Order: sequence, then C-alpha cells, then structure tokens
Amino acid sequence: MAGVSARGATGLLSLPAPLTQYAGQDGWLAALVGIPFGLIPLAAWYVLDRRLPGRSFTEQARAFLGPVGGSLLAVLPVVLFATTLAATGREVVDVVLVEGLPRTPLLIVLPLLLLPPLYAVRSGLEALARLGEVMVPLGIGMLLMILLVSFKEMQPLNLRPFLASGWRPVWQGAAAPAAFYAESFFFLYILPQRGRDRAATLRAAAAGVVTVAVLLALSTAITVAIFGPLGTVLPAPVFQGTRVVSIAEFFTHLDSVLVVSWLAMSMVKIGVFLYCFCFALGQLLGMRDYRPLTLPAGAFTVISADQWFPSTSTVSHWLTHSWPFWGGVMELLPPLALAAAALVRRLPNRGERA
Amino acid sequence: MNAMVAAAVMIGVAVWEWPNLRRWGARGRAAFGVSWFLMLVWVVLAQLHVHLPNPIKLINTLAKPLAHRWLVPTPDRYW
Repeated sequence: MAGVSARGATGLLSLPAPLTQYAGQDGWLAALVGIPFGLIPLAAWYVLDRRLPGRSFTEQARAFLGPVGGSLLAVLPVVLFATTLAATGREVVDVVLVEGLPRTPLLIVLPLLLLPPLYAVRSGLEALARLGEVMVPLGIGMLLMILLVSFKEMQPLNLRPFLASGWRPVWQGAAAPAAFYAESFFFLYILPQRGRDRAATLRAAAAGVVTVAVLLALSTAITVAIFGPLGTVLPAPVFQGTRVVSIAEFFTHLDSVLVVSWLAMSMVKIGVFLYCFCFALGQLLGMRDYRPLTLPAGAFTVISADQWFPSTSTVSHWLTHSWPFWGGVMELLPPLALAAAALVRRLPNRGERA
Repeated sequence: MNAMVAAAVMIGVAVWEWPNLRRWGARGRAAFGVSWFLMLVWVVLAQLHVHLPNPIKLINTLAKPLAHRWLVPTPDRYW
C-alpha cells in the first residue's frame, strides 16, 4: 500500500501532462513502458537480501564496501530523499494553494499537511503501514470512481493513430514515470523489516509498481480521450477532467473528490519518504533511533519546498527535465553498484549471515 | 516580524520536544539539537530574504544538456 502511494500519489496528477506532451496519444503506453525501471531496485534488493538478510541499505553498504566506502555510498540515498521531500512538499501544497487557498502562505499550509505523516513516522513503520492501509484504498477508490463517471465525456477516437510517430516519443514520455517507478529504491530501507517469506515480499513490492503504472496509464488514456491535444498543455489534466463530469446535472464538480483522493495518497507518500530520510540519516550518523530526526526532517521539508522550489513552474520544470536524469541515476546506480559488489565480494565476516 | 514569529515557533517546538530528549541518548540529543538549530537558522534567513545556494538549480544546470539532447518533443503531425 505504501509502495503504491509513494510512487503514485503526486505522479497521478502531474505526470499525464508530460506523458502526452512527448508521446501524444500513446501516453498511456509510455506509462507502461517504464515498469522495468521500477523493478530494477527490487531485483537489487533481492540479491542483497539473499547475501545479507534483514539489513538496511546503509548496513549492507558498510558490510560489502567497508565503513568508508559504504558510508559514502549511503550518503546518496539521503541526498535523493532530501530532494524528493522538497519536490513532493511543493507539489502537494501547490494544488491546495492554487485551487483552494491562494492567499494562505505555504509556510502555514504545508506544516498542517505534514502533521499526520509526521505523527505516523514518529509512531514507527507499522503506524505508517496502517495509515497506508486506510488512505490508499480510499485514494484509489475515489480515483477509479472519477474515471468511471467521466466515461460519458470520452472520445476513444482521440487515442488513434497508435504509434504514429514510432517508439522514440514513447521512450521520451516514459522517462519521467520511469524515474517515479524507480522510487521503489526506498524499499531497500523498508523491506529489511519484512516477514519470513522473501519471495512473497518481492511479489508484493512488484505488484505495487505495476498497480501504479496501470493507474497512471488509465488516467493518461482517459485524459487523452477527454481532452485530446489540449491534454498536453493543461497543468493537471486529471483534475480538469473532474470539472467536465456531469451526471444528470446532479453530480458535478467532482474536483473535491479528487482532492480527497490525492491528499490521502500524498500524506502516505510524504510519510514514507520522511521515514526513509530519517532512517537513512540516522543509520549514517550511527544513531540507535531515528525519531530525534523526525521533527527536523519535517521542518526541512517545509523550508526546502519553499526555498528550493519558489514557484509551481520550477517544480514542473524539475519533474519533466531534471528528475528523469537525477532520479534515474540516484535511484538505480547505488542499488545496482552494491548488488554487483555483493555478488563479487565475499563478506568480511561470514558469521554476519543469517 | 515574520522571522521572529518563525524563530519563536521553532523554539516553542524544541521546548515541547524537551521531555523526549532524555530517552534518545546523547547522540540523539546532539542530532536533534544540531539539526533543529540549522533549520531555525535557515528559516530565519529565509524570512529575512537571505537565500542560501539552491542545489536544485545546480542539478537543473547539470541536466540541461541531457534534456536538450534526449527530451525534445517530436512534432506531432496527427493531432
């Protein structure tokens, strides 16, 4: 559940636009093409967990690369989580500021939105998982309901012709969602606390990646079917889609339903990344508990969202032009490098194996 | 004024957190103290319009040539 929310929450609203901008009517296909990038960190986790079970990425890095090399490699996820928290914070608050509270400062809205995920993170991973169990089905259910009721407004002819410009636009469109799916890298800090069955854990995590991809493909296809070429210029086309829905002129303006869905999933997303940021930083600093870092991490999210992304256009530019490269490198390189090291190097102390 | 309010809120939260600090050991206390102080300085500077270097701008600059090479939209002839 946390996996679905952590990748899908903000992406479901912001990604259909860049997908259709590059891939046009094949945007839904681009959403599916990126799936393997979400599975790569999970495969790396599987390799690492077989060699050194029940340890987080930082501990495994120190075991395979030594204290200095391992710590250097473990800094990269902390930097990645920091940029992700800043961007996610800005994305989450932007919808509230633009659509609901345009006169309220970000420094008031974002801390209030952060209270539930902060409380869940301080209460531990289980509380975070329970938050996901409540929020994610609610979010997905509301989203599916909106997609269903907008069926009347769709024109399937907008989805044709199929692959008219070849595969290049599809790959270009797949860049941003692929980096979103590769956020499954955070599982390297969560899955060590898995149950007994390693394969079942891997299957559940992979199912999360596929679920997000299918939801994104569905939203993109419906956006294209409703708006056609206009979908490429709308900032949040799924959000605009809720405004054209009208059932018997009674159910109209379902945008509030989408906001509920989106905020529910975003809270879990921020919670997951806050947890991973605090946990990774705590282990890097040699702390036995990550909780002292939760409040400073919350403050960091608010200030960095305000200072690093001063406007909506900066976060939009980041998602379409920088995030595919930054996210791709930072999410795929560390787990692949460590998995390769784990396959090549012997553990210094074989007694560490479980 | 905004800087003073932000600093007061940050100090208030730190005082509220004080009872928990005993449970977290010396390293936990040090981590909280240092990181919370850094955040306080950052938020006060931000409210005074003193902007620290933005790493996102650096990443954008590094990614720009790649984006120009690989992410230029193909003109669409069908829509």
